[in-house]
Amino acid sequence: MGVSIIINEDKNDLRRYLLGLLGEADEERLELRLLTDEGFVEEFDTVVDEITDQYVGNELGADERKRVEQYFLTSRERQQKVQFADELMQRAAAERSVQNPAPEPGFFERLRAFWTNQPVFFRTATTMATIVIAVGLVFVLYPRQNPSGTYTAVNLQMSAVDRSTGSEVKAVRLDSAAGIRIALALPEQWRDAKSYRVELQDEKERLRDLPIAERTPQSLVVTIPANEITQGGYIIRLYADGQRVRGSYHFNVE
Amino acid sequence: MTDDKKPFDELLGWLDSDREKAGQRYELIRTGLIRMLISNGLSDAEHYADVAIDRVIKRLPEIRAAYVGDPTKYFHGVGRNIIREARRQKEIATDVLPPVATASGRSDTSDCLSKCLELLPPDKRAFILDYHLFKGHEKVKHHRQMAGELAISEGALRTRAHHLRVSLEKCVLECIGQEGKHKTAVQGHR
Repeated sequence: MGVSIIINEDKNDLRRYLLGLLGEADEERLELRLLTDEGFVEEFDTVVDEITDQYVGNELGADERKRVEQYFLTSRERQQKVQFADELMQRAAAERSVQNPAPEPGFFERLRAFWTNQPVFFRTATTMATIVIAVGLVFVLYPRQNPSGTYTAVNLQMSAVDRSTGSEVKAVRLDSAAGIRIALALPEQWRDAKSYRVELQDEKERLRDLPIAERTPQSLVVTIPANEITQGGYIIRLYADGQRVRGSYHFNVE
Repeated sequence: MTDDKKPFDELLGWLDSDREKAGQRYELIRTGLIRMLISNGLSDAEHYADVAIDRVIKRLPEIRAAYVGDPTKYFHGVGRNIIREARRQKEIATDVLPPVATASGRSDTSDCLSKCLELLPPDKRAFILDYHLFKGHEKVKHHRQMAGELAISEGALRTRAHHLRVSLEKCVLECIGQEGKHKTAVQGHR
């Protein structure tokens, strides 16, 4: 049976498999591993539990929730799991919330709580003053700092390593840029593909496709507007002619 | 040796010449098949996994004579055929949304969860409930805090919670099965 090494990439493939998003070849590879690798089976079960909990806890986006309902939950066994998870979470909330108060709120949560406790006239006056200051600042600073909606340019090479290893994760500073323009170097054997799909995953493992802005023989260019990205680690995966390309691109927004 | 046991022994012999290793390999194939069948929308996956294994056992003499390759791949192929057949028979309701639990189903789960939680030692009961206390970002922070308090990694915390949850879920499902049998028996007496 041997010792199996589970990396983030396996976890993502498992999630995609469970939501019916893997291509046929990857699906077969994953299923064969399920029949031979004990550690992988355990990881599979853990990912099943995670998806179940996220579904019950209403933590999924609309698209993923729909996929869970149409694919993940079609068997009776999975529906029973949902019922079990729902009961377990309700029981936990009923019995343990007194002993375990919610984790300490962060700076923004405390700020929000302070704000909502202030009288209405104070909030209105502060809002008006903030708008006036913000408009003034935009007039003064905008032409110099962001002349034409410039994008921070990043070149990424495909890596076979896990995000947590760190050495191949590129740091990106947004500052006042309108977004990030990422050039993804294509692995040699995939340069002749007819079609590509680029998928972005954030730290909370939320997935979304990125539109391809430009294609050259050696690379693909995608752009992400600043208002669609926050600080944190990101993974980009590439699909060529409907098939998942092994490896991934990593970057960290600071 | 009984007639039933002989074909199964032959299957084990095909999987590995070492009987213990063959047994482990068989178990892994069966549990893998069950997960694969559930993931492809089949209810009663244990039954279908056994159907797949029976098919292999019945054809074993021909397979051993003609098939060259990893036995796991053969099992996988049979499992895939079963999925295709079930889809053709519309066994898989691909357009059905998860049903809202019936009042009786929910109350059985709730009663059984209470019973099964009672069977756990107090520290394990507190652990599994604490682990499932929060949602979203608070859950992540809470798990980090729990791992810190227990002086273990977040991965180890996740594994510990998973093992406990598996045994709890098994207990609840067995309990629901027994409750169902009990209700059927009571209704039969009426």
